[in-house]
Amino acid sequence: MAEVALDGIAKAFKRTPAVRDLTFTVHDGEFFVLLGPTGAGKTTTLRLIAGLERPDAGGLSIGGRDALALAPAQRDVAFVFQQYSLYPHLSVFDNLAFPLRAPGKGLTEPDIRRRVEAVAVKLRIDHKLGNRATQLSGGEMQRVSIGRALVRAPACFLMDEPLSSLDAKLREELRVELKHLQAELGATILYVTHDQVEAMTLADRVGVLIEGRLQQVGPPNEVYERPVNLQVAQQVGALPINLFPAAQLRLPEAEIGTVGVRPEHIVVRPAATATRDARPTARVLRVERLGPEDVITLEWNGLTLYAAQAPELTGALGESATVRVETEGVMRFDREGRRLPDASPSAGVPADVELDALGEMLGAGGAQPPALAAGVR
Amino acid sequence: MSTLSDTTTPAAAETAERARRAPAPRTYRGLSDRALAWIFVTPVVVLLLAINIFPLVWNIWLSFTTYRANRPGMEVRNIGTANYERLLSQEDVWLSLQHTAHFVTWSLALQVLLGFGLAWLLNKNFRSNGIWTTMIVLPMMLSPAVVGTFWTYLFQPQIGIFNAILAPFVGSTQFSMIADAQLAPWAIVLVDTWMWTPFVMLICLAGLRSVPRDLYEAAEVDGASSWRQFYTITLPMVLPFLMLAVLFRGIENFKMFDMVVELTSGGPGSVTELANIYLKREAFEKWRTGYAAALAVILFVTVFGFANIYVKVWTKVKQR
Repeated sequence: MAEVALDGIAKAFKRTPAVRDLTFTVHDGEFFVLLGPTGAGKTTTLRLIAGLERPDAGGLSIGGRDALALAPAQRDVAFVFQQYSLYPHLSVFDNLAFPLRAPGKGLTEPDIRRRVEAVAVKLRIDHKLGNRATQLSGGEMQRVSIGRALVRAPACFLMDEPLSSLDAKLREELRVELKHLQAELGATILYVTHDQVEAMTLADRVGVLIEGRLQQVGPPNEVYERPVNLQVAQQVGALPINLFPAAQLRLPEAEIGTVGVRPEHIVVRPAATATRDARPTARVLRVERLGPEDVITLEWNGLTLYAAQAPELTGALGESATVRVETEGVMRFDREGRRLPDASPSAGVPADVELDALGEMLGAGGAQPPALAAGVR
Repeated sequence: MSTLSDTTTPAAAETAERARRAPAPRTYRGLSDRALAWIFVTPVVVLLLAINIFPLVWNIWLSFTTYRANRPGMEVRNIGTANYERLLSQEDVWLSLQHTAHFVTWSLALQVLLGFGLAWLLNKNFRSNGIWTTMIVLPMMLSPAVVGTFWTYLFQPQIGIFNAILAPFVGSTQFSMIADAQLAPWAIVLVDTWMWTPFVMLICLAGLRSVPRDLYEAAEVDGASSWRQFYTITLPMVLPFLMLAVLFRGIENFKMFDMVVELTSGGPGSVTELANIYLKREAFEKWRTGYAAALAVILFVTVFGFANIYVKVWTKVKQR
């Protein structure tokens, strides 16, 4: 296993930039997930590292060696493709043995057999070794594909959305296995996905790639809770973040452009519990009861909002509801979309505030430490 | 039209059962779906019987008789398998079959090699790709008779361009591809290859294009040489296509007639007299219709048998 370091890598296809000035390091034994929407340049990044594409600029080192001059076969990386890419005319055994039979490996057949069988047992495909690759189910094919990478014990695994063509249950299962496997082997993995949940559950660190630029790198919870800008905030999270344009909150012309609140920081209560402080202010469009939590779609001042909360809080929700915002979950972005530093916590800040009063609170606080609270309550 | 009467049949129990299973039988102007289907299919079936099956059966019957098509009044006697016995003991017949085998084998071998090679080259991405494909495919668009005729001019020793081009290598223009008994069998192979290699190429090209690119990329990352990529990925994936091309060309060349008649008329002597040319002479020049019919049956059974076995193998290869 080894460290993979990209330094200012750039690549354009016919003048359309795919990735720009990409600099990050996947540490030895780290599970690094590159998260981004379709077309962000995630796959291109993997292909550049594997040597299937040549970068226009920048440097790349794998295990301390300059890798740009090396052919794909010499880079000692294994690639797991989204569409499995098994050799259709070979048996499962031969597919797994394929990389071991490359010239220069110098392995004897008994050696190869031992390694293939060990990997097959680990991935629970040992009973399928004699089958043709095309006779397998999707999950088995992807196991073989991962196995073909494992047998090589490469410096680094490059995985291009390996689970995206599987059905939900299988995806979950393999995801858990993959994480176990990585921990067990101490493998260095660079994993590409557009799937939130995969990124959050698998990654030691997440890199958010949007339009060819790496926006933020950090542990999953940090990227989720403290996104550096609006794009990252919108990209990360299974439910979309609620965004309030400053004007909607009747905020004064100031540095704040947008306010973001994650759905779990929005608390919805039945209108019946309304008090003088909490008038029903939002229309309930839809309540999806997912079991452990309810996802509520609301309409407030022309905006569509999402809230996620425990079912017992929701109660019997009528057509309208009171909406409160937990202040610790409020993110402020400037007019260019960059996130403003959180106001330092102070004793005066209430734990939550009515949605209608959110603008008032932020406006009073401004960029100054919030002595605002007293005025609001 | 038995289904038509089904609706009026007095077998009430059956009708009731049917009605229960399909509560609202779909009808159009009182005709059930099945009846309509039969009405649409019948003309085709009748036509097929009339122009395919009847001639075949009649031909088989003729092959056991002394029938001569140019003497309508003559008594036709059934002579059992005598035509077949005569045929199989005739040296000319065996020679014509040998010529056919030579022609089919070599033309297929060359077309497969060249066709695959050209497809391999055209599969690379280069700018004028489309123009080259169109140009290479042109010979295939011509009529075989036209091809046969104009190649007699190309092969002409005095004015033909073929001899002119080859002269520096063989030291003389004084040879004739189609008049020389040694060369003529190769002349027909050559012209057929010129004409039909593009066909094999097109099918191979379709095969090559069907190979997903990521397989090569996976192999490249796995450290496979280009040769290993060729025989573990390319060849097995293109093989079903290649075999299909061979089947088509094999059947076509087994019954080759027009191009060779125009080019050599089976000569010099009878060195390019393929089975079909021999057959035509017996049937429509010597008017030994029954005898020729027997040869036609033999050729039919041969090609049908080969094709069937081949298709079985092909299906296996395809399913791998």
